[in-house]
Amino acid sequence: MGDMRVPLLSIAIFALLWTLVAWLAASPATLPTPWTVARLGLAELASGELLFHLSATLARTLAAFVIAMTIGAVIGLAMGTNRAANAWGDPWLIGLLNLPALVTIVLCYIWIGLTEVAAIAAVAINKIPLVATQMREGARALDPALDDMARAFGMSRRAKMRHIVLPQLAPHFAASGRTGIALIWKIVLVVEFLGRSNGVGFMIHQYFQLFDVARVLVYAISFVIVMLAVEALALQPWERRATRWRLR
Amino acid sequence: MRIEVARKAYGETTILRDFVLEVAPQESVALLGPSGIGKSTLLRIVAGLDDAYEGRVTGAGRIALAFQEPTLLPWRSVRDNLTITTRCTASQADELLASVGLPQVGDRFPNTLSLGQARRVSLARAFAMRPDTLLLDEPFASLDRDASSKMQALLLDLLRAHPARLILVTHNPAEAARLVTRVLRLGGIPAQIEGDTRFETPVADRDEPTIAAMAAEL
Repeated sequence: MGDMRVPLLSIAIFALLWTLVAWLAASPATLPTPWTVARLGLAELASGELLFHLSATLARTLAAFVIAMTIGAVIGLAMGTNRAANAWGDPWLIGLLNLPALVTIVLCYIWIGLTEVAAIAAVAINKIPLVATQMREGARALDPALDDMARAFGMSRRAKMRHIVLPQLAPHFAASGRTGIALIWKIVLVVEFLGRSNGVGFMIHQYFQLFDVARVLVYAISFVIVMLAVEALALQPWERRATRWRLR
Repeated sequence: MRIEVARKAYGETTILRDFVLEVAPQESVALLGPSGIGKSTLLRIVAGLDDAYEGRVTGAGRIALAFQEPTLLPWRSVRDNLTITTRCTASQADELLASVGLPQVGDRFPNTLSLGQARRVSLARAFAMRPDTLLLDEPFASLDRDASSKMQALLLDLLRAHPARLILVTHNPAEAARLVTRVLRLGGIPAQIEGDTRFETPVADRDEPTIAAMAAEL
């Protein structure tokens, strides 16, 4: 753990500014104070509602994340190492990259139905082209000298993938993992908003209709905290492990 | 083994034409010549890394190669570099590391090694293949005098313990005079064999004055 004083102070200043603005606005319905939100959050936590919806959203986020990372990596690797695959795949990739998330979500719900499969598919489809693009860059930067070495020593495909290709792609996995998880949970919320009956997005939909800003904030901030925890407890330790060889 | 290259070109430039070389088992050959002459290209062809040429290579048996760059996997320990690449056992790897004078580096990552140490690991890795044919591409380049002569002595020791056919690419006549029984001097575009010298004095019996005299001949 590094020095936590600066980040903590920074958060405290944010809370202070929030309080100040809330006090100036003097309209608790539009902008409740931090402690109102905190108190409501604790109540939602105690009732079990908060954890139920957080875990529903987290499950969707992780499912979409794993699917998008796997499929995106395979596509990116194929396109980065094979000229023909790149020529054929590139227009599709550009098309998908520019397809608005909302369109994918609406089409998935119409074509697949208002189901969990549609929800997760819609999110994954949004993220796959981004992962593929990043992995393609990684595949293009693979060191040809190491590839020569592996061929000269007759290494198996499997050994090459595990010991030569994947370690070189690790930083790209980390980068697209980090941006991926941040993007995915935001899209998951939209998916839930539009067509699910649980999850953080669903609850925000509910409280939006009631104009209950305090509870909208409770759910939003709670999930931000969950995602920061995922980053600190899962993503960062993995990245440290994968790049430990760089340390002298 | 027999190397036949009818033609090898990069774009418009033919760099090898009608090149034929036979190397007996356990014979050691140096390819000597200025850089850019096609020595490394020839080595890549023999190693099977370049198949865009007319001709064929037969009878090389199992091949191992040490490049000018050590090309170790930076994300695997030194020992794993040997076992993963050549499928030798961990104890064989440790034994070879000891025989290149690096008994204590097995658990370290390659980026903690000096260039000279990394080259020796790369040499150990080549011998871990138990090769019939060993290809070395400028393995002593840019080492200081001490490190270079130490590594050359190691190579001769290793070849005594694990006999193999050796093809050494170098631009340094003294290296060739110390290490091999036959020197081919390459020159011209496309490259021709301009000189083919066989040394009678066994490698083990050459002292410094002999080596200097032999190098002067090349």
